[in-house]
Amino acid sequence: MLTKTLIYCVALLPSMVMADDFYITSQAGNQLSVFDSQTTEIRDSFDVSAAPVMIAIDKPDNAIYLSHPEQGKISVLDLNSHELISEIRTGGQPFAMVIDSQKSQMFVTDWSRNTVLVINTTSKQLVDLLAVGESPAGIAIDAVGRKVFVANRESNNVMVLDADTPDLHATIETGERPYAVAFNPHNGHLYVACVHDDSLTVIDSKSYKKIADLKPGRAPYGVTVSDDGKQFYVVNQNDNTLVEFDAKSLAISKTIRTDKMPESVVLSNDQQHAYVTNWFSNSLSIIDLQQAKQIQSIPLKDGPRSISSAQ
Amino acid sequence: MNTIIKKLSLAGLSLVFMSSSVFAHGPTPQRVDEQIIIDADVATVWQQVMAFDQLDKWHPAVESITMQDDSTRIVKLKSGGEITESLDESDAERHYIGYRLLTENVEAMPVSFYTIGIEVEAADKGSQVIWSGRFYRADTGNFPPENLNDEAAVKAMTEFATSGLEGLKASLEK
Repeated sequence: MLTKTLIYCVALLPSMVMADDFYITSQAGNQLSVFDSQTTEIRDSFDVSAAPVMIAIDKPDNAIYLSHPEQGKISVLDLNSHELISEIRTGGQPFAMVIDSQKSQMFVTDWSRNTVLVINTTSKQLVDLLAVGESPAGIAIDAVGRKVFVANRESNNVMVLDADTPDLHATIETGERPYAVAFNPHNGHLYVACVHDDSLTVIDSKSYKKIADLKPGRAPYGVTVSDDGKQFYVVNQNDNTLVEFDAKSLAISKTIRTDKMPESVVLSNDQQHAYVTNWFSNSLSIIDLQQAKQIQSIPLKDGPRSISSAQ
Repeated sequence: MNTIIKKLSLAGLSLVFMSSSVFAHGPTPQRVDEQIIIDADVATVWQQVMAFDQLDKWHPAVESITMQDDSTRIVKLKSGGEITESLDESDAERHYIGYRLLTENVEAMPVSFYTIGIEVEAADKGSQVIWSGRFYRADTGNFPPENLNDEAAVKAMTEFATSGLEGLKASLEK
């Protein structure tokens, strides 16, 4: 009986991280919150090192990475216990991070030093620095095609780096002030939200050609792609909206009102809901995509920036 | 057509770091959120708020407005200095205008970028005007001097909003 219980406990341990959990940073509140998408409640919220902005979750390695640009560091938390495992002192202003699912490494934009930092996710050490354009912001990866995409905010372009060698494959002009990027592995398209001229540049990651210039709304910020690659989503910070694009026709299929100044967006695991952090309102919008409307608004700690699935 | 990415040595980094000074934008947004109740109906208040070229008629800190084109204004401040703002949106139905800082002048206003919205809503007694926005400190590096840090930016932006709202109220209630 005792043995049986013990085995049961051990088997339970890895499932402490719920597949339906999402992590949210609150930059001004210095908090990390755990949103349980099953109960639609904030299950936990705790202090982290000052001013966390972006999140990257390495599920196989049970690690949460938080960037703290103003402290020039990245903190590493255990995904299960939420305890601080390590702090990576990068210097500069580490901002957006992307985990390479094929290799023990992570790429991080450094806003103020115009570089991409390469971090070994096993040793938690900074191992390389790659010069890119001015004020690199958003970053995405095509882990299979071995390419890393970097939006250089002040250079108005996207650079395509090799994920394995220090090669620059291409530099592609975008709209003004590219901020967030998302890669669609189903069609090889890259979506780049350009904050200043209210545009969204669509790039073919194979030919490195700009294939469309879309108009999502005012001050497009976060971008995400549905799991099947058929839709992508953009939040417009100055319109307080979430828009859904059809990835094939590149037409807007839905426009949904959010709270004030939406910042980032992700989809629920079943793809039925969108979760939007609203920076000004300090809230999380739960959006029913079928009904195309916000069905709930949950209060968040001060200054919510990014949201990331624990899955 | 591959080019080798420039690799930076750790020693070289300090040089890069030293040369990075002020950016137009940064990773730390700050907020302004001020309201006032004005004893006038929404339509009357909106007429005043929507006139993008008439800010000097009611904002006590503004010396004059010069329009560069239909949607770009140069705001000359009484404290000295000029900032340029561009109108993003004027929504008569929602009674909302949105504008942004186009050309910064950190000596006149210690911020590197902002977007501001002014909205007029009906209230129990007249109208409520909400002045809100998002902005970034003047020096977005990690070691800003006191006059260019977050506190300085918040103070300046909050004062400009509150004095503006009070000026608007005074101009409509006289």
